[in-house]
Amino acid sequence: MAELAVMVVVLSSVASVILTGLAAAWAEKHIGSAAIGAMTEKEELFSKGLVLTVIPETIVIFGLTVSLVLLFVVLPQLL
Amino acid sequence: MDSNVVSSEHWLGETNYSYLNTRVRAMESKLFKSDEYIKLLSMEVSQIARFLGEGNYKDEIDSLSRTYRGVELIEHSLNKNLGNSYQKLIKMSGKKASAYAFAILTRWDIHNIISILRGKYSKATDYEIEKTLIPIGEIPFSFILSLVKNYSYEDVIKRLKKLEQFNFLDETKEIADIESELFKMYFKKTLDIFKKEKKSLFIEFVRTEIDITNIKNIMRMRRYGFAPEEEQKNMIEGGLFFGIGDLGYLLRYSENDFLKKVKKTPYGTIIEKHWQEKTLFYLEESLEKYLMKCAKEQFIGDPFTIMPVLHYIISKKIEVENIRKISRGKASNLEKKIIEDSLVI
Repeated sequence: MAELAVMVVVLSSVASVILTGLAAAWAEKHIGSAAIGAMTEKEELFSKGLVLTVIPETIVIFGLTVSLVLLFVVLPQLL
Repeated sequence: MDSNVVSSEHWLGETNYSYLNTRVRAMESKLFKSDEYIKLLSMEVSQIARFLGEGNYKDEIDSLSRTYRGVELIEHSLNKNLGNSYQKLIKMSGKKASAYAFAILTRWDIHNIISILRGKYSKATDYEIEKTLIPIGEIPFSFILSLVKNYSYEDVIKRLKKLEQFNFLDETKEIADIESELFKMYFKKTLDIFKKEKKSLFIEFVRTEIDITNIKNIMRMRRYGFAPEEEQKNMIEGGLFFGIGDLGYLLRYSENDFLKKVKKTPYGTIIEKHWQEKTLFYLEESLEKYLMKCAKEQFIGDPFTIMPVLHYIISKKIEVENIRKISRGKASNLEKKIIEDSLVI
């Protein structure tokens, strides 16, 4: 039973990083192309575009945090 | 004017709606706002040209200012700018979106051909005809320009007949018949291309345009009389509110029945407002204004669709038409109020 719990925690940790990474990539793809589109016509939108493009990175940070919590807080309690 | 501006043979990549629509919206934010039209209304023609030369029309005004002056300069710059803007749009649209853009832009082929035929029919000079042409469309513009040079009305039609899409034309026919045949062909082709998308806003717009064209023809025939064979020639199938069957009735209804029928549609209030006027000019202009406003309001939609692009195409056309009306009105000393009323703001 304990082995199963360990496996679930490890897989969840992996999934949280992979899925948030993919979500961030998808969001950045759209925001990035939109930002470039806007910048092509209005160069002054560069700073706004840059800020908006990196915002989806926060999704990965959440995923990474969840993953680290699972590995270093939850997992030691199971072992 | 340059040679071919828009051709279906352009290499087109996949449509990236995020990029396309944000860029188009940024382009749209540069279009004139209502307060700028008010500013233009209080200017003289030369001031309008200068004002345009300081903004979005700088490149066109700069390149044409050596050849033209005053209204001529404004007209040519507007045409060239419209062509350049649409060309840019097609290039960045990508495969999927460009199908819609082409459908709208093919309309300019019809506009150019009709302008040439009308000019040739009324024996206008080549220069006068060229002034009315817009360098956009599916047919290479160099071909359109070549039609103007040294050809008669019949010769132009004979040359057009060599193109597959115009092989139905007949040089012995009157200009009015040719015009209605060209419009019929355009609407039929567009509805055929997008027949799977019966409920799309774009198709609704095309069908509204068919309704308006039919109403204009019916009003003219009701007012000035018509021969039985004209009825078939002038009616276009596929309208949003009036099917081909309704049109015959509309033509023969009594005044009261006609008004009762059209009141059930959005065109009712416009027709009623101008019903008593001696001329149909204001009615036709109001219907055109309604169509443009309709498109502008409808085409605001999902950023992952073609709607923002169609919205820009219509908004740009409205801007160019508005500036043209202001400059022509100013040049012919029309009252400010009359010009203002004709604008789509």
